[in-house]
Amino acid sequence: MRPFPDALLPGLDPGPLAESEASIAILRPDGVVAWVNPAWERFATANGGPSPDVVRFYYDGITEPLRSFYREVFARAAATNEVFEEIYDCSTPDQRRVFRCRALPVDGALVVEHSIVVDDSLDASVVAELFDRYAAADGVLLQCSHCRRIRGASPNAWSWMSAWAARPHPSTSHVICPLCALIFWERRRAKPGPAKQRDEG
Amino acid sequence: MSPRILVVDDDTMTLKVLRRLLASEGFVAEASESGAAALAQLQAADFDILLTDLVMPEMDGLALTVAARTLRPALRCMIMSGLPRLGNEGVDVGWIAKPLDIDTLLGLLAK
Repeated sequence: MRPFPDALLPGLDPGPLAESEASIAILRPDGVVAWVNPAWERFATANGGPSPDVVRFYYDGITEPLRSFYREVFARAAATNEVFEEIYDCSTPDQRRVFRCRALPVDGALVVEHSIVVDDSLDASVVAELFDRYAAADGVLLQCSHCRRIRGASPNAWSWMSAWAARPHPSTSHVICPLCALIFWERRRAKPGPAKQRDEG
Repeated sequence: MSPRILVVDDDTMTLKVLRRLLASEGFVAEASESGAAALAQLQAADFDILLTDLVMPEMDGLALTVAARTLRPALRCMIMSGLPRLGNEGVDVGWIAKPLDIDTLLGLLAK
């Protein structure tokens, strides 16, 4: 595992990034991968991807036309200091998988996070089942007020659920997830941007 | 003299970052993780502003505001919430939408 790039992000606490259950990479302005967290390494290993130690440029692992798309939107995020976010499909032949990507500009670098979308449907029965699974013992859902993800069983596990992002459940307590606390409050650098869907242009 | 502000939220991360931010902006900031603990602090010390989360177990932010006003009628109270304001709170209270915009929050507190 590469050492945390203290020179690139001086004073940034690596704890929330390292402990997150979402895959997180830190990119230099030129797209060089400066660091990835253990969750990123686990995902790469589990999916037969190249070792993060040998991936130099973030965009090398992406084929066209997506490579150009990500170059452009990440460069725009860095230039405007606005967060880029999208929901994308990354299914395998055996499993439907949906992820949410956020690129958070911090001091010229980009913190790129890929977190799992638990269910992107608005089906009422699914929503009810998810409430039973995710609500805390006191019947309250914990939702990050910045990224709108819902906290899971661990303080480092945050998942996107479209139903509650669109309309918070009445029993929702709005909190701050560790990554948003780090980026939006501790550093006071990035500004949340409007959510964008790749297939919506 | 620096304004004294009591921040109440059941989320420790929110409390931690808010307290640190407000202290860096010149406020004397204290923190409570529950309405009951906040009322105890209001009984023990004088505060200028109560800044509280809305949805909390046992005692929500509105109930806390009503109880706090009984103790300290001149206390300025502000509720933070990601839920839309109902408009029928029945008590004079400021409302700050979550996610909190730091500059908006500091502007409201400075008024």
